[in-house]
Amino acid sequence: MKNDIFDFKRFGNYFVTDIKNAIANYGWSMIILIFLGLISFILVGLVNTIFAYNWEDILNGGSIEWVHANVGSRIGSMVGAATILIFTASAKCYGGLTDKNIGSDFLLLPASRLEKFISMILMCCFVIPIVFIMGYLLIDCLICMVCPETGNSIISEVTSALNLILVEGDVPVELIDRIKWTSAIDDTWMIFLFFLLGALVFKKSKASKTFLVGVAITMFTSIVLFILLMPQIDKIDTYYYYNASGQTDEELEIVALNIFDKMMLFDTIFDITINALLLTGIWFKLKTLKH
Amino acid sequence: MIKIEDLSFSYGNYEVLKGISFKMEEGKIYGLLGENGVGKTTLLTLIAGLKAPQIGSILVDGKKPYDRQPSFLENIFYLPDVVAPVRYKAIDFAKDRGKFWSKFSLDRFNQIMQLLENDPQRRMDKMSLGQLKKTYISFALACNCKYLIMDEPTNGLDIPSKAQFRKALTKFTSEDSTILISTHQVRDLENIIDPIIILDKQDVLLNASIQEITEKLYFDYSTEVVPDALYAEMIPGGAIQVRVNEEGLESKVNIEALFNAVHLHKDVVKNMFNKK
Amino acid sequence: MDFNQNKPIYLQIVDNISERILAGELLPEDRIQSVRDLGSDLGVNPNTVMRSYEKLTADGIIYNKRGIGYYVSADAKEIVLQKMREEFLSKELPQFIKRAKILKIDLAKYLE
Repeated sequence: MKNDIFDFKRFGNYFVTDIKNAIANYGWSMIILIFLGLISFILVGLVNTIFAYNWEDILNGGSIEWVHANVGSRIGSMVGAATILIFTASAKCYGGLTDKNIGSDFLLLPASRLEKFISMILMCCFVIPIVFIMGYLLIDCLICMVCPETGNSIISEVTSALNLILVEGDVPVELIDRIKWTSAIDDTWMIFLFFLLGALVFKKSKASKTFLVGVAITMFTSIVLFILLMPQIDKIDTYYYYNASGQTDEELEIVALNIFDKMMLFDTIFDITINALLLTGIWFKLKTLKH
Repeated sequence: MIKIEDLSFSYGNYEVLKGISFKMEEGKIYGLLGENGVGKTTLLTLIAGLKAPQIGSILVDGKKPYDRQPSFLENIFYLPDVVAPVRYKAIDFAKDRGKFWSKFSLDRFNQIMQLLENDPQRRMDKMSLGQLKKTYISFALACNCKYLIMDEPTNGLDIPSKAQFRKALTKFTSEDSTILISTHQVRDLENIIDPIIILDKQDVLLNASIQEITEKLYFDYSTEVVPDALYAEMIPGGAIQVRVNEEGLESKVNIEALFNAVHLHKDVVKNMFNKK
Repeated sequence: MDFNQNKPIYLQIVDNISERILAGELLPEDRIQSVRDLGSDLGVNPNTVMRSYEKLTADGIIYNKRGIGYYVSADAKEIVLQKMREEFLSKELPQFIKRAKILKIDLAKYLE
């Protein structure tokens, strides 16, 4: 008698079906996004080249050298592609759930709610981002191998930049220890989950509506957090630059680090809470979806 | 066994089902008849677990469908009226989905597809409506579930396909399956459905086997006028008149005439068939 | 098999099998189709076929070897003949005579 809550083999089957479903719904989009690096590389290069030479040279077909897109522009393209990925992946893969036919098929597929939930989260938070990142960076490395003039590959550029800041630069050691490095991952998950929840809540124009709601919430939260926390951040500036109360450097540092610690803690709690809320929302949606 | 007790369901303010109670026994092919809009599809989706009863309960083998537990889902297959085209070849779809129903057999799927003259290698989003429906029908029957619910299965099928469907339905379902087919194309399924459930606005007018119906009602095909006929109609070749079967004669049930008779004399019929 | 309007389906199936026995298509100890198979061929609910087989068994025309299937009885042909004679004499003949009277036909002319 199979467990009604979680069965490993059944979960495996379901996960495979989910992956096939994602490929069918989002496969081509993913490939285009991965190759966006190449496309923008060519387009930016084209624009660069056109702007680098004056008209006579271009029209006369004189010795023109192609001006490649530099690392900065390639990183920018990656960010752009990633943004599109976050906004559209969840809606395309799981948006069908609000449709009567596709949603009914999904709901009645013999797997437990937990299995369907875990599969969905794994897809959105791990499989899709990892596939995108690996694919995109791979193309980027290939571009760099073929055209070395364009500069470092994104990977090496980022690692050397981090190296510069952290190892050789003058970021204080205490700060490095305290920085929450996983913040980027948490935040990315937050946005993916947010758009996933939006895909399950809205029936039409899922990405757009979710985005607008997101903008509204962000504006609201920003204002609230600004009012609450800005005075604390100001204190760090104040203490470091104005030294109004005449404390020693060490005392200042303790105060500043204290504030910094609290900010990091706040960030962690914030991320975990929001993510937990989103996960709960998604779980609840799965439970109560009706057709 | 499917037990439905005092079921009520509304869409907003519109009450579709009210106080519906009946039982479905195992191993039978039930036909669910009713006028359009009377709530057949709503009832089917409630039994399948796609919606929750607002009042009352539905129990399938003691489980609530809306909970959608895998042990419930594995035993039931719901085939809706309108089916979704997917970007898979029929055979790939069947292989992939079939893993979730333990009694599914790919061989059966291929056999049924062949019987329905449908090509399993074709992509489902490139099929016509009829072919798509046949693919889902083949899959539904190949799953060999304990409970099979079909909403207007012959909708979209051409005439030869309807006959093939009848064959496939009787050939590939076992005595352990309980089948519930909702239809308003009564003639498509005339000799297959037994028992017959007739659903009206907010009421079950009839739930009886063909044998019980012939015991209580007599279907007269002669042209002599029957006094106190519950329903009478001229048809090609004569007439059909439905009356109370006082002499205990045998006759062939004409489902359309039955339907009309039941609707014209709701309370009379209900009392006749009311079992304790 | 075309199902005509008037007789219950299960009786029409009984008639059909009886006719085939009479015509020699089905011989004693021949195995007949299972309930499901016949139902599938005819597009008819297996319950209906079951009723037909029950009647045929009750009349002694067929018998059931448990777990194996239904077989034509040794004296099936005689039984069928007898039953059909009874049906003819009680139903078809009176109807025939009544019709002839209505049409004012003198049957004596046509016999022999």
